[in-house]
Amino acid sequence: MTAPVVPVAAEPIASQPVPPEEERPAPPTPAALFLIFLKITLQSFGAALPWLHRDVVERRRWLSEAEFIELFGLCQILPGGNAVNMAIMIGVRFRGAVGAIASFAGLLIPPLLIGIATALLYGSFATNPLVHGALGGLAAAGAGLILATGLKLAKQFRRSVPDLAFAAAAFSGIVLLHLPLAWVLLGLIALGILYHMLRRRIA
Amino acid sequence: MGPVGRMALTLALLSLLSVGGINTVLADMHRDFVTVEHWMTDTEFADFFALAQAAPGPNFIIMVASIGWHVGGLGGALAAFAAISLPSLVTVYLATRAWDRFRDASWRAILQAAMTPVAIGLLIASAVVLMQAADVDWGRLAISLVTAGAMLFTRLNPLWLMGLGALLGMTGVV
Repeated sequence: MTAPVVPVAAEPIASQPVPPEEERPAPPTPAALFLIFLKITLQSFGAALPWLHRDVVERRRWLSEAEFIELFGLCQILPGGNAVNMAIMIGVRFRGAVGAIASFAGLLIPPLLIGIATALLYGSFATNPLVHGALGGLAAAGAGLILATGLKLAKQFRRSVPDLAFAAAAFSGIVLLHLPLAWVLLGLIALGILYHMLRRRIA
Repeated sequence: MGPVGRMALTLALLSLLSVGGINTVLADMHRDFVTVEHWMTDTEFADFFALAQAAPGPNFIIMVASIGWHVGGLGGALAAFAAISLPSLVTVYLATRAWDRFRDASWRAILQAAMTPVAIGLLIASAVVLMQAADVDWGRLAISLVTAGAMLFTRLNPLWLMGLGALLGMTGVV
């Protein structure tokens, strides 16, 4: 097995190989996966991804920041919400199909139940200004958490100009140019592939 | 095919199209459920949407399950849940397995290098879009920025900030 020959000096941080496992905690059991994602979803009141990152990377250290980013990149190009996809991927990584189902169930069964409960109570929710107000405030806080998590992840490649450029381009495409997500995503990834292929040829 | 079946089929298809998140799918859901099928009114959809608005992900499931119940009771809620989430569960599982199998492939390294900065740029963009979403409301913008700052620079448990946000929202301060 030969490692790919790449110049280390200018390598974007996001594409460096995953660091070797040192004192990594034992992989969680499916039951643990279920409970932990259950806890994440109950805590999140909205933005699940920031909580997921905080728990899995910062607290439990199941994944390094680099590993999280690696999976997160894959998340974006797959169908489905990012938090859900991340949960499934983490489950697969640790316990295969059973792990995937455990994470999925832990994350999504509470919202399913809450959704049914909400529909049952719909009459009283619909015109309740308190609930709407609270939801608005929660949404605002949730947006802030997502922003913070995005910036934390972006710190990983703060020294890599090409990575920052691509991230800025993606950001601008959505926020400034209001382009459809699919165009920005696929277009910039195609450009990125081209860029990295050319770099390796030239280097 | 009854309404539950049609709804499930629509949701399953939308689920597979929800690359990058479900926001892209919401417009289609509205068009289908409100305009075409008349399963709910605009206001009802907006109310359900308010629950999912905070972020894509589990909140979206709340919304879909509610709509499913609205359309067909418990069976409808379960069918909607399965339709929107199982296709991507299977896809993500298969993709992750494939991804890991090609761990040492050089093309994987290139693909990964290309994907990750774009993914992170999109994540930050999604946060900004959410902050812009509710008509420039300085109070809510302040909550977002304070929450972001606290998460970045302090060790404060974010739950406090979410609670504060909910409180300020409830009391009409923002």
